Amino acid sequence: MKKKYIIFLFICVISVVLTGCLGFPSTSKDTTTNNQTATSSITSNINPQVAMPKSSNSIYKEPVKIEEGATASDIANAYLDCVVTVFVVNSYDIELSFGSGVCVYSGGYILTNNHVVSDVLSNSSYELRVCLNGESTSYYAEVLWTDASLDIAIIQCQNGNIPFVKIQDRLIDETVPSLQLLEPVIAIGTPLDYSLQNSCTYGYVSGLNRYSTADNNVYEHLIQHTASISKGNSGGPLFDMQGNLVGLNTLGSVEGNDIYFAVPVYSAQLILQEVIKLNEQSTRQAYKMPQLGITLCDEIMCMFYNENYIDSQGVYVMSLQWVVILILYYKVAT
Amino acid sequence: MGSNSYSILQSGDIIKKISINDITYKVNCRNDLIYILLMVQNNKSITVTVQTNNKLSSVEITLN
Repeated sequence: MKKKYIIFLFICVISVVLTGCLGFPSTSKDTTTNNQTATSSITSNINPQVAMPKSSNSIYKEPVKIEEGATASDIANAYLDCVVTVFVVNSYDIELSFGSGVCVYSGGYILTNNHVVSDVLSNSSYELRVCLNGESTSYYAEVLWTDASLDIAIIQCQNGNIPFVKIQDRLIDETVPSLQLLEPVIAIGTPLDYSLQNSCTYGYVSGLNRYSTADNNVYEHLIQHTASISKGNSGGPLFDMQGNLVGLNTLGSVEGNDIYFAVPVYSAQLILQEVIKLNEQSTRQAYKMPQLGITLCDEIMCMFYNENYIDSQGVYVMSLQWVVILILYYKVAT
Repeated sequence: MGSNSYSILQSGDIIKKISINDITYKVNCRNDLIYILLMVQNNKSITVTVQTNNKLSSVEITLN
């Protein structure tokens, strides 16, 4: 009798161990998301469990590869899932604005425009959400770095399992041939309405190093192109025919035809690794943009602000912060 | 560049070049400086070469 009792106990213990290993729901599941906020949905009929990040087995570690000689259609199809829709919602979960974005690194790191996410920074009750291609669920996202004058932001989506693209800024990067006039480009994004998510358009580079003014900012080094974009395309990617991410679509002319602009992604390319490194440290840190403490003005800025400009080359020093002046005097004295 | 060539950067000066670890970058517009700042994010100080009245001088600025 005692022997049967021991066998019964043994079977019970084995059952409990197996039950745990087979992954039945655990109450601690939601707390293991590596400093990320909980998932929720914009649409009310979505079960939040559906939007939990997928298992680590399927996490993308390498950028989506584009074969040599790929057509525009091949590139668009390959990158479709790398492009996301970025929403700003208020405290009542009502969508206020949306734009597009593109995943550029394993772990849900997304590039978008500063003006797509800037409302979240100015109002603490607003939140950022990301919708993946073809999904009706949304994920929380967080702004890691943003710069208004470059109109670029790096955000991280709670769902880190998003395929990503390779960044290659051909406008400034001297290791690859620069963008050429009338070179074909592909734009992907969500124009006008979420039902048009990840629309793909095709066009040509129609100008380089353009500048434009909007929202009290002067945007420089813009890529002018003809791949049609509309409201909602902001922050969406512009690809060349090698599949390189060359820009983020930012502006379009209301009056003209086929006059659209993308900001080059060079600045984001320079700091992406640093932003990720700081974000993934055990003591998570935000990236702080280095500052010279000097107010600068170049030819284009001077035209915008009607300041005197005495040289067409170089950057005019308008003013210095007192801290910088102290440092400079210290340097001279020593 | 010796210490005698140091001068105080002032408003009205024009930054033409910026040197980081003996590598000199030309500065033509405001964005150039933003890119350079992003490149030197881990450096504690950089040397800025400025041109005023056709005279070159050099100052060191600490990133904050």
